[in-house]
Amino acid sequence: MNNIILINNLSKKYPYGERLPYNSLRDEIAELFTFKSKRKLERGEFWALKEINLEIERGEVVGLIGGNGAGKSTLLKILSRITNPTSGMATIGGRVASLLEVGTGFHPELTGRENIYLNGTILGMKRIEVKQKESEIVEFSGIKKFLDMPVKHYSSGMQTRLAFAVASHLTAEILLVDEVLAVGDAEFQKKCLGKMEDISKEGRTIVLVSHNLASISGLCKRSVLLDKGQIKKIGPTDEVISCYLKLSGKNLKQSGEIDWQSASGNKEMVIKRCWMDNKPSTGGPVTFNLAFYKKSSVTDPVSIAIGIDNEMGNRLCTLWSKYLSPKGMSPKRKLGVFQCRVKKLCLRPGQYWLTFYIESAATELFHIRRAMQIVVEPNKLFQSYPIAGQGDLMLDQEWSIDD
Amino acid sequence: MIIIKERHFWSGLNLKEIWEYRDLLVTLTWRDVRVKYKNTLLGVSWVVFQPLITLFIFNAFFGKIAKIESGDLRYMTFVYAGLIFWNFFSNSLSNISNILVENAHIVKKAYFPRIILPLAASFTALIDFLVNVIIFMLYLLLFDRGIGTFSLLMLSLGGVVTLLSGLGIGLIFTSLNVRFRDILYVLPFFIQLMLFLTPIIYSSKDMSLINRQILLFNPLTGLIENMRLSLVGTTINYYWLICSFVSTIVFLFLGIYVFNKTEKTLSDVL
Repeated sequence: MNNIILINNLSKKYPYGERLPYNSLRDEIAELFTFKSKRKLERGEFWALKEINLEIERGEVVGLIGGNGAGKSTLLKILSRITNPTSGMATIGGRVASLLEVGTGFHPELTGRENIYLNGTILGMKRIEVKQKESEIVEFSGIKKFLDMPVKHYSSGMQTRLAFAVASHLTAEILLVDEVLAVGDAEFQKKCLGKMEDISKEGRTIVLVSHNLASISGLCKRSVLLDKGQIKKIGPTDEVISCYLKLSGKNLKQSGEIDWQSASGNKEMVIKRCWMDNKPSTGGPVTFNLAFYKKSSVTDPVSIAIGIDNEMGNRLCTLWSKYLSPKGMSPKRKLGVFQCRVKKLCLRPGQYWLTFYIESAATELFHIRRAMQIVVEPNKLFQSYPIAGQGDLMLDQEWSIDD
Repeated sequence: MIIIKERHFWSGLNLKEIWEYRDLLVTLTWRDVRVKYKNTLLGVSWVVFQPLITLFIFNAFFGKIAKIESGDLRYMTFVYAGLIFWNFFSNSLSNISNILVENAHIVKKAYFPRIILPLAASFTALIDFLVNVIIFMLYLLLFDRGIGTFSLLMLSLGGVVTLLSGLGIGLIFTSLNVRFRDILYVLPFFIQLMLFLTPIIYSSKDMSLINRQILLFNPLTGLIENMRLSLVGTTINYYWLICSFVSTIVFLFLGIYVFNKTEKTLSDVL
């Protein structure tokens, strides 16, 4: 049998409603005296996963993608046996280690060296295996000097390095990895990716969940798209990613209300709505209109910023009023519209996130990350467009030959 | 080969799997011992001081002032024979009761047989107990009658009974604590009540027959009384000892049953 993971009709149901993570005895007793019919109304169930069928071969690196609540993490938790399925079955032909977070079980009072043992055994290693790999782990972490110091005195970066050093020396045949790449700086992420490539070359199996589509497409030949607990597509990663982008494009807010209440800052001035005069297209002009409301307490000039992030959440550029007028702008009335004109939108076709920010005299008034998504459409100006790995920017360019 | 499917709560303990995870058990026990006395001035010596202080207080108030009857034994020895097991029992009970909630972050992020956690908690208490047994034996040798074979046997038997009954009752508490955090508030009163429902400062011989029968549900009763008998040198009361065994086994199975039931949905509920 070449399949190392075999998933058969796997389903997981969660109750929802009044069942809170924990409740007190009082609630439980009070509940006894409520009418049955009423109780049924308040409770419901929700299928986090429904009839999942999947086969994963030995040595394969498989990506799991999908929006929030699609069931990716639930699937990973079932495969790592942290939670039990409601029905169905999965068969796994080897030792499993799950990396659902970096540094599971790290104890702040213990030293780095002690935590290597603690973390290692929690992740399923034997003490002797940890001992054999100890010097390798220490070497990899690069924090040899601080190893006998309690972890509570470490910087968060040092903790991450140590934790990843342990994780990357796990001996299990199957690694289940969830969003681990999302933490740490760029250098650390690169190190993670490199290590995962090494692991897959050793013939071990990896199931990887990530929101970072770039890392999924770099590592996984095959991917699975989950949506609302069901498998939407299994196939080559490129196809699955484009399917995912189409799917998430459906629930896209192109222009409209901003959920300004969830923003950070003192909110003395807020942006309530954002829209564009015309459909944004590659190389075409676009005007962002930001409808604002300000309290009378704002008297200093303000500066506004619009951040543009790509699908992977990387910042591509920031449009900021202070680049052009450092003194800031002074709106006279309570309500109004800021306009930001971009003559040529140098972004390849795709989806982008907008972040809004307002400051006044170095005070943050309003900051909302990835408040809305825009779609940049192809334009007749170009004959073809960059694909994944060729970058997101599309500068105005001319080509000629001088021979 | 690992097979993952729906779990039923009556699926019993997988002893083979627990054995496979023995290294984790060792590490977790060692972690709890390490962390317990970190940042304290006296460090590990608290293991010895804590029970001795209780012993002196009890001896002063119940022995010297209240003058409670202690039969053929000196009151200090009489109380010590009870406290040695009681401290083990109450330590493991309070260690175990909070262990699942305390380690929720691990439970939700890694797999291992969940019973490893309460086991580690009771092993942590066991280590303290073993140290205190040595102190107790030194006390007997230096200040009292010395120690006979029977007493040694009772000490080791008592260790096992206390370990298992503490584990059993602890499993019930820790399972309930997952759903009802009230347990944390109830526990100190329960332990206090148990202290008085266990013949530590008094002897069950002074009680009426009915009260003594009720007291025998307590796994520690028969044990402590027999420990004292062995020190005096009279014959063992087998009926009391068997009562102690039976109630230990009942609590242990009840604990495992409740724990298995909780374990099924543990990471979803925590």
